[in-house]
Formats: sequence, structure tokens, C-alpha cells
Amino acid sequence: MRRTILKIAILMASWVMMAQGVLANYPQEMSADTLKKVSAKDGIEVTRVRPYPYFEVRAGFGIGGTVPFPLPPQMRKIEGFKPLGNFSVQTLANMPFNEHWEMLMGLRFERKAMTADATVKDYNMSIQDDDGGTITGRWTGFVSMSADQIMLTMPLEATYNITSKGCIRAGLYFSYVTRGKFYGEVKNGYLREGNPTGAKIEIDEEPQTFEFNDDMRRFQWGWTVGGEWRLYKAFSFFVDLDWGLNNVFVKDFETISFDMFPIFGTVGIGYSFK
Amino acid sequence: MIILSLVGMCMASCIQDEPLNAEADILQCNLSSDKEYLVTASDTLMEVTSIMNNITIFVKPGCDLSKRAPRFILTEGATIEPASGSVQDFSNNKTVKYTVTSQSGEWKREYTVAYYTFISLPTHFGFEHYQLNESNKYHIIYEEVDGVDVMSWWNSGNPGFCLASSAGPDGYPTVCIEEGYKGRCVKLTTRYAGSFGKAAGMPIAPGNLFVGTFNVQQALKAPLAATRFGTPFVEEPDSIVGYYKYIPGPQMTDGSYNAIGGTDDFNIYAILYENTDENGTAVMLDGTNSLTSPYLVLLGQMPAKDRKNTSEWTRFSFPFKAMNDKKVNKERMAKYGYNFGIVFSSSLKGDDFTGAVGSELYLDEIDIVCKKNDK
Repeated sequence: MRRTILKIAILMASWVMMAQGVLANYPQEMSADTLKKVSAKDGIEVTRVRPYPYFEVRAGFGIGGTVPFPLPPQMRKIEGFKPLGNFSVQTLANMPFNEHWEMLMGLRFERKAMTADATVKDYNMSIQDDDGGTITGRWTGFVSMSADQIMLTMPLEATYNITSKGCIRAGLYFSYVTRGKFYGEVKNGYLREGNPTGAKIEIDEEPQTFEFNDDMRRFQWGWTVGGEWRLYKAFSFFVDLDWGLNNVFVKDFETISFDMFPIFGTVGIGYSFK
Repeated sequence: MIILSLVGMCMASCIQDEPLNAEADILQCNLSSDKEYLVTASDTLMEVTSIMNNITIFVKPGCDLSKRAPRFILTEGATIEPASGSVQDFSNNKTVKYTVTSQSGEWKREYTVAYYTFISLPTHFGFEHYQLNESNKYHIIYEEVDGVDVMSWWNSGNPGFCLASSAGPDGYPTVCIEEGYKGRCVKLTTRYAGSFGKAAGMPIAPGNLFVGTFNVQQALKAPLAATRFGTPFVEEPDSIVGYYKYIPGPQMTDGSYNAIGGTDDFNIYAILYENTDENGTAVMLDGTNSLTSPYLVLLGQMPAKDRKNTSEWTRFSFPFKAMNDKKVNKERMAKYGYNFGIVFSSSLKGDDFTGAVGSELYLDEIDIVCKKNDK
């Protein structure tokens, strides 16, 4: 784990250096013109609309869930929800085009994890033990599901500066899941083996477990919206919402019969520098 | 944060309408209209387990089988055809097929219901008859008496083994095979119950065969209580004789599937017990109390000295002994007041999931020798 984090840190640092190299050739004169125009017309502070590409490092924590959307009818009641220590660290490169528009590209290391408890009815399920023995069928009762993913994400967003202090953003993100886990347990209900007419197996307080770690997709993408507010000097506060657009499970995974999408929000602090 | 809480609220409010029920079971058979004729009093409200497709009802002589109207308690919202409570003709061993359709309309189950004027459990078992279960996974052993196939007497732990196994029918603990002492015989093998069974504290599945019912619903929760012994019997058993072969498996293991010393052993025993208590409430003995119940009247168990390892067909014989200072009451017997059960297992301590995977017990041509009735 420590080695993975180190690798990712190196990757992110080299990304900053690479991006800095690319942006060094950015035509700064044009930016200066733009700056003058903007300052004259709107009186926007020069500190916000920058004439040059700039970088930002951010750290945040997230809350959200990997959920089916909309909820399938098999899900009868949400019994509980708990985010699991979600964090994100990222480096971003911003390229201003004019007084309002900027383009953002970044690299983010993040965890999207949660546990959700629900009461379900006639819900496709495959319960397993440690050695991989399975019983597949339809579950009615309590289910606790945890989705825990650690990923490298590349956001690609358009930024619109509303004022000198605040901006809003929208775009896409692409993620590579370095570690994906989906696991949980069922109890207080019954499983119909195979289909709803199969043998009925009751499971009481003693839970039976399941895990579908091997069926998680590696590449994910989705849309993202957010906003940022300058707080003090180079420090800013940001909010992001990532909405997954592809199923977290691979195509041929059929046990969970509906698609599940990661929907996570992040809040945090950023620091900008040239 | 606002967006997030909006998403959260939407998720909570997005609970859709409850889906229509997909199950299509007969849960219980309400036979209160047959009450005075029922051989087993508890059948007034007969439990139908999720693996049963045959419902057999034994009635006393004098019941008009051409006009019976069993009622059924179904899964919520399910419908049944022909209707519950409709009068049907069950005379001359005619069976009636009922089809249950789930509330969603998507799933159907078929049940065969039979009424028989009491047929006594045979006193000779040649194990010549078997069929595959509904999903074609394992053998169900049954008896044929005067042209009637009675499915309800013999049962095994096969439905429980089925939960965690992908084996073919021959890989199950209880199978009917061709190589008998005469014709077919039954072969009981102690099997590894798969990692799932192991995790549930049931690492092995001894081959077993018994007269009674197996409630698969409880197979993971309480396997011993899921095994219920006996059917009404109207003769006084004296001894049991038959033929066996026994080959113990190579390695004994305990309930945690750890290797232990010793050699596996098998078990054959039979019981006769009072099937109602002092208040007339039905009594059904199961794997937890079949050898200790105060309702036991007779118990016969093959003695340890006679249980040998042999790959040749070997004759065995053992007597019944009185239990709890009780004697068979002829009057009670005539009113179907006793249940008889016989149990075979390829691992003696299979109840504790101790035994050797691969232990094989073959059985054939078993006779329950009964005392001559002064008819």
C-alpha cells in the first residue's frame, strides 16, 4: 500500500512538471491584453483572472455512494448509509482563454467508498464463503453492501469565472480503479435458490457474506460539476460532484441485475501557484 | 453540500412501488374439511416445504375420495388452478395437478396432490424405485405399493447438499444404484459438503436415508431439527434384517474439518414412538431427540460388534428394545397413534459432522420383521 501511494505521488509530481513544460510556451502577451481589457471593462481584480496558466493542488474529503440510479423496485427501504473515509488529493493545471473561460486538466488520487444497508425483496444475490463456495438466487431480507474503490482520476473541465473570487466548472472525468472492492452480508431473510420457485433457505441473525471484488470494472467515467471560491491569497474552497456514467461492475456480471454508479461529492481546500 | 443533500433526498424518495411477488408456493395445506378422516392429526394444517412438489394425504378407510376439497395457503398474491377448496375426484388413486401462479404472473409451480386410504409403510424395502428431483440434480427414492407410487416416505439430506454442490446425481450423498444384492440398492456416501457447508460448520454431508421429512428451509440454520422422522405404522416391529456393505473413508475429520484419528463407522437404527402427547398435540421426533425422547416406545439399533467393514454383501439382523418402560398399545396402534422411522447413515457421528469423506454404506433387501398380529 505504501509503495502504491509513493508511486502515485511520483506520478502526480511528474504530471505537474510535464504540464508546466507544456504551458511554458503559452502566449503570455495575449493574456496581458485580455487582462487590460477585463480590468477596464468589468473592474475585475487582476488577482483572479490570470494572464498565465497556473496550477493548483487540492485536498478534500468526499461523501457519496455507489448506488443504482434510479433505485430498482427490489430495494424496499434504505436502512442506513455510511461513507468510508473518502479522501482525494489532486494537482490541476488551468489554462485561461479569456476573461471568463478557462480549461482545467488534472490528476487525482482518491477513494470512493461507502456502506449502505437496505431491506430488499426478490433481489439477485450470490452468497459465498471464504473458499468461494456459492449459492445463487433471489434474496428477500436485510442486505449490507460496501463499495470501496481507490482510483486515479483525470478530470477535464471547463471553468467559468463569475466574479474575481468565484467560478463554476463542468466537464468529464475518467478513472482507473487501482483497487475495487464490493462486498457485504445478508441476514434476517431468505434466499430462493436459482429463482423465486427454488428451494427456500432461511438465514437468521447469523449473516452470510458475499464479495464481488473480481467483477469490478477498471475504467470508469462520468460527468463532474463544481465550484470554487477564493478564500485568502492563494487559498480557495472547492466543491465537486462526480456522477458516474458507467456501471461499476463488468459487463458480464449478472448477479446484481441493475447497474450501479458512483455518485460522490467532494469538498476541500486548494492552493494555487504559477 | 446542497447538491449532495438533494441527491440524498432524491435517493430516499425514489423508493419505487413494491414489485409484485414472484414466489408461487403452496405454503400450507388446510385439510380441516378432512379432519375426521386424517391419519395424522397434525395434517389438518400440513406444512408444505419449498422443495415439495408432491402432497400426499393419508386418510382412514371410509372417506369418500371422489369428493375432497383441499384448501391451500399460498404465497401472498399467488393464485391456484384448480381453485383452492374446489371439489376434486381423488378416487382410484387419481392425482390432481394444481398450478400456482405468482402474483407477478411471471413464475409458476406445479404440485401433484394425492389422497390415499391409509397405505402402511411396506415392511420390505428393495430400493428399486427412484426418480430425479424437479431440477434433475439428485435421486429421490420412493416405494411402490399396489401400483401407487408413494413419494412421501423416504427422504435424505440430498436437498441440503444440493445448496452448495454442483455435483451430478451420482456425486450426491444418497443415490440409488444398479449393483444391488438383488436388483437395485441404495448407496450412501459421506461427501465433502463444499466450502460453503464448511463455513456453516457442516463440513461433511453423510449419506443418509430415513423415513420422514427433510425441511431444507432450515438446512443451514438447524440441520438436525430439519430432519424429522417417522410415518404412522400399524404393526409392532420385532427386528430388522437386511444386507449391507461398508467401506470407511480414508481420513476421519471433525466438525471443523480437521484430520483426527480413528476409523469411520455407520449407523442403522429404527424407532417406534407415540405421535401425540397427552393433550393430543402432534409429536414428531427429529435428529435432536430421536434416541432420547420420552415418547419413544421401541428402539432398535445395529450393535457396534455387528458393524464391520466389508466389501461383500453381509446379512445383518438386530432386535427392537422397549424404551421408557412403554409397551405397544394395540388400541392406540389401530388409531394410527404410533409413528415408525428408520434411519441409515454412512457416518455414525454424522450428526456432529464427524466422519470420513468417502465412507460408503450399501443397503438392500431390508425387512422389518413384525410380531404376528392376532387378526
